[in-house]
Formats: sequence, C-alpha cells, structure tokens
Amino acid sequence: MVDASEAPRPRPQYCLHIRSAPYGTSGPAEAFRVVQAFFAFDHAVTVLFSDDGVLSLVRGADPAPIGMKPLSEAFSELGGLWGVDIAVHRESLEERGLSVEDLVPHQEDAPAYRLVRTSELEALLASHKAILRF
Amino acid sequence: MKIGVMLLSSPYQTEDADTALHFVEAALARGHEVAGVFLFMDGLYMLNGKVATPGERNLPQELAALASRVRVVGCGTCARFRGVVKADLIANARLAGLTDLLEMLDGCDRFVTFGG
Repeated sequence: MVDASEAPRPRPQYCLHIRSAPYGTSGPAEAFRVVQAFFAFDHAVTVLFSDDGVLSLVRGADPAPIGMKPLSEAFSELGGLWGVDIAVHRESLEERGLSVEDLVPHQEDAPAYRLVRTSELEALLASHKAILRF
Repeated sequence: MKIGVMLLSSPYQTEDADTALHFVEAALARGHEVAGVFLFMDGLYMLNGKVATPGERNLPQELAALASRVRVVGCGTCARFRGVVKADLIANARLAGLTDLLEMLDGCDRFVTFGG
C-alpha cells in the first residue's frame, strides 16, 4: 500500500457507482468490499453515490435492529484513504430532502465530499476506464 | 477489443443473466476477446450446476458451454454466503477472490456490468 503522506492522489481509472439503497440489497455493502480490494492493491477509484445510493451516507442510520452493520460510518472512512475519491450526486440528495450536512462527516484531514451535478455526471463517468454499478 | 463482464443478479429472476450470456456470445461472434465473466453477489447462482429447468433454458449450463472458451470466475465469499460449494460448480468455472476481478478489470479495454 502507498503511504498517503508520500504519494499524490492519482486519477482513478475505475468508478464504483452505488445507486441502490443500503440494507435493501447487498449492493452497497459489496461495493464497500470492492473498494477495500482496490485500496489494498493500490488501485485508485472513484466511488459515486447517486439515486437511493446516497442513503448509504446518511448520518445516524442504525441498522442494528435488523441485524446489520452500519455502512455510513464505513463509507465515511473511505474518503481518507489513498486513491479513494468520494463523489455524491447533488440532485439525488435534494430529491430526498437531504443536504451534505445530513451525511456522515469525513475523517479529519480527509477531503470533503465532491458534489456532482447531473450536468457533470456524463463527463465524470466518461473519465473512467470502467464503471461498476451496484 | 478485450471485454470483461460482471453479473450481479440471479438467473430467472430478471433478464440480466440472459442478456449477459447473449452479450458474450455476440462479442465472441464478432471476433472480440472476452477477458472473463465475473459472477458477483446473486450472479453467483449462475455457477450452480445443480440448477434443473425442465423444459426451459438452463442458463448455468449455457454459461458452462461458454466457460470452455472464456474465463468464468465466481466470488468465493458470495458462494459461501449462498451455500454454493466447489462440488456444485458448472464445468470449467472456479471460485476466487476480488483480486481476480481486479486482474480482469486491468486486462480489458471495456468492462460491462449486468444487473447493477
């Protein structure tokens, strides 16, 4: 693994696009596993949350009563990892009555969430070699 | 062109598995190289050789036929979560970790996800 203090953030080749709601399907949780694998093998990656996928980042979610582990805290830690860029679709937040203040805070020193408008999505997605949708 | 494919959903529940198979067949027929098919999440059920479909298309066996020409790999963790063991697998397929997915991604020009 690369020490974050020594290496500049590279341009990610791969994008994990999370569109499904947490806990409703295993998609976001499996995407989290894939991000960990990318990080372990020094692959830079963009994680884009849109549609119901933005709910994976909402602070205060407690899935313990249904026997599941909270994903939001796990995802919030990703932004501080080398090579992991977290992007959030602004309109998906707004359509659900949410703002960035409703999302779990990043770790200290981690870059803020990159808010992406609908008009910017095409360019963002096209800038990657491959997109994995969950 | 080198193409990679990932399937996330189970056969028969949706059309995704059918479409993924047809996509791979069409790519091969057009002379493209298919770097591999990765079965992830419920897509893993496509590796279950015990699937029986009297009078209907048997999608896992269709994939087995392709697996003699194309690398077919399933997520080992997904298999454990779904009770699919090596002895159940269709011919020419194997279980592996996410490192295989990364290798597949690195080795292809285009990567297409079905069922996401």
